[in-house]
Amino acid sequence: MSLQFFNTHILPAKDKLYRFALRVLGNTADAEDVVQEVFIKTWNQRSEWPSIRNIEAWCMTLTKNLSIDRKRGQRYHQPEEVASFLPDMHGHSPYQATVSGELVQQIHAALAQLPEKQRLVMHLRDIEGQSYQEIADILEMPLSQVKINLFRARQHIRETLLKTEAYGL
Amino acid sequence: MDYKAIHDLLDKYFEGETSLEEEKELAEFFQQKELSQEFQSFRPWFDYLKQEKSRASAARYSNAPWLQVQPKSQKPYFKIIRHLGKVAAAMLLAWAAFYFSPMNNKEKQTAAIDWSKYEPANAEEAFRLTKKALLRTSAELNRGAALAVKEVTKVKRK
Repeated sequence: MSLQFFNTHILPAKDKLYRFALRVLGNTADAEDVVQEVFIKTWNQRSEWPSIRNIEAWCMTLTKNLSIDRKRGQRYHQPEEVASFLPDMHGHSPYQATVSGELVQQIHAALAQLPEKQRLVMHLRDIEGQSYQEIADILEMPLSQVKINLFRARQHIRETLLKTEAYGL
Repeated sequence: MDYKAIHDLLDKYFEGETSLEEEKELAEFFQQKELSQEFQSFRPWFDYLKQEKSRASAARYSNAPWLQVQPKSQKPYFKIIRHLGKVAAAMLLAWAAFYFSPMNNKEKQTAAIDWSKYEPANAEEAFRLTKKALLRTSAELNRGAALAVKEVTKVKRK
């Protein structure tokens, strides 16, 4: 019964948890480790599953907490992700893909400048498509804070995009 | 295509006021191969989001060894015993707190003294006890006065 529930309700969130951990840690190996830790902890606490309202949101919160703990423990570790990024061509010409790839790297850099709260709110909304309430539950912050953080993050991205266009980059 | 509507939607998006449906609409719009020049600067952002959405973990967990560990079956009466134990411990603690509290000891001490033993039995005994108490008080007062005289004399000599 527990295994079935795990396979149908928790395991499908694997990629979502991985992306969230990666957003905090900026390192694929660490993100994979955190996801495994989340699954082990969730599995070991299976007696509490019936009392958890939204198991996916619960796993996301656990992912956030474990990722932040890990990040604090390795403050001087350099993230690898920006450098290893390869542009996805999806229908563009190689030239367009290269230009687009460079712009996307600039977006990566712009995101890295954002405060962690803004980055996480934006990730949950724009990449995972979570509602404001779900974001508030996952990040354990008031709804108003979610909206403010999202507004500021998007304003920062808009400025970056317009600046990039103005300088012809 | 109504570019004005997309423009308004983009403004709304960057103000953080779009719904999930509207955001989906924007994402679909930016997937077009040919885009008007005015929207080109925003394309990288939506390309980036699309790419990030497709990131996946390489790990497989369906046969992980820790999943093979079956939950320990706990029989219902163990739970009842555990809860009864908690109640008993709480009651024991409350009783101990009451029994050993200073207020409780004071009450016990107060109850143990039987003041009726010290009550005089008749008028003569009351007179005798009062006289004895007054004599004792007088003797103490005289002793105090004598000490005062002695000290004053000592100071005068100096």
